[in-house]
Amino acid sequence: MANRPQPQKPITMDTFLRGLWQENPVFVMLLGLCPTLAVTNTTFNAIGMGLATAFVLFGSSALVSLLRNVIPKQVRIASYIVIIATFVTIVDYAIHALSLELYNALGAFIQLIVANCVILGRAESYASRHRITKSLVNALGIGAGFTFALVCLGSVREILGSGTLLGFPIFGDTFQPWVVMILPPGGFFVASAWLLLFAWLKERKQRKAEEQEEVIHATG
Amino acid sequence: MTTEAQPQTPHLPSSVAMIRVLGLIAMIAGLLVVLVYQYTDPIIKEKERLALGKAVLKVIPGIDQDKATRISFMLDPDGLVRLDETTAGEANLFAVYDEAGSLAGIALQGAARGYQDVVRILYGYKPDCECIVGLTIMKSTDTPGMGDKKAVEGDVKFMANFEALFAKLTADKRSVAHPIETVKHGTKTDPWQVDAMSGATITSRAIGNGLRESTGELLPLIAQHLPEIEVIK
Repeated sequence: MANRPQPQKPITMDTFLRGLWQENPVFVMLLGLCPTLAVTNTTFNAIGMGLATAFVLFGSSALVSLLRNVIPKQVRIASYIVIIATFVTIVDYAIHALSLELYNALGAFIQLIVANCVILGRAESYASRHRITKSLVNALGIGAGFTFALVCLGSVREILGSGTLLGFPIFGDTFQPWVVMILPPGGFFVASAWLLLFAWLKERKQRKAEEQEEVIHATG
Repeated sequence: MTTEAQPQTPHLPSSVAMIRVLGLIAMIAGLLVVLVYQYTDPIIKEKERLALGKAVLKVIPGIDQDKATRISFMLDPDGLVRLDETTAGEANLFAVYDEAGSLAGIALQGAARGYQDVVRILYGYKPDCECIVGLTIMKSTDTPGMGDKKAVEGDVKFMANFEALFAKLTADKRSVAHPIETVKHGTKTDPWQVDAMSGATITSRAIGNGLRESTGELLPLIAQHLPEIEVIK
């Protein structure tokens, strides 16, 4: 049968926070970049796509974790895909029923969540090896991290490309929108700027830790 | 006498076990999808009906939206069918009547390939002037800020094309006299031409193509059944 049981560490705040920051799926692991670049031309779309993906991640992690001891290793990928596709279909119907505007704006990218490697990656590397509560907390963290990354991109692109935030104008009438930012190249520009910021923050943290270590060695 | 060590083969689950698990997962998936579909389907249909109703009234100018009446029809070469709760079919013609019961205009749908995907439009047609009097975008995933619904409908100059776009039929009422065409921005010379949006030529062309195909197909049929549409109230 499936996976050999592993010693389980207790659930801590870190189980949730890792997905939000240290293991952020977009800014650190560089996963799920297709919807990240495609639908973040407005903050509203970014929130919609982020929450839809988080829901699929949460639901599929729950089911994969519950069934982890009965799914044979040989058919695990097929099983995960069916489970993920189920939750994608559910979220597709739910968005269609909630907002026609959002449904039309996200288009085929809702159905394409099924191919998002963040979700399959979590099912294979985490949910299939951990208890349901821990898998759910981790899925919530990763889902929140993915939504956070999409909102970071969407808000910057909308502000620069349309001069609005969540549809509300934030500059005067004289503002000339930087249209390239809501076009596909703008997605790459803004994503690379955020990645640069994250890399700089990570490097600064490492440098500070090294400096502190040197001080401890020098004084000790 | 020496005994050779037998190679260890990994334990494989039986095919039956794998089929059983896949069957169980498929069953759970099917149950969840059907439950959600049954719950959301009426909500989706109602939302789409309301959105369409709102759009239909939007493309017929000069009517009191609170007092107007809308009737859906299915029109094809086989004839005109009025649709209601008892008649099944997909509506492609929406007649709008004012509070006195006179025909105020007809809303029709059109679609053509845009930059990203198919651009779906709804336009208003007045049989008395034989012209298009309004247009709204039902769906467009073209470039945001250039060819999307908000950008197209926010372009005052482009929308002015559809205040009285010429769609007259020939004398025998069998075809459109001058098929609608999209021309480059600033080069419109005839009343049946659509002046393209600057920077969104492909979306403009898609709208023009959608109008040309839809008017070419439906307007001769409307002329044939106009007495039925006008007096149906």
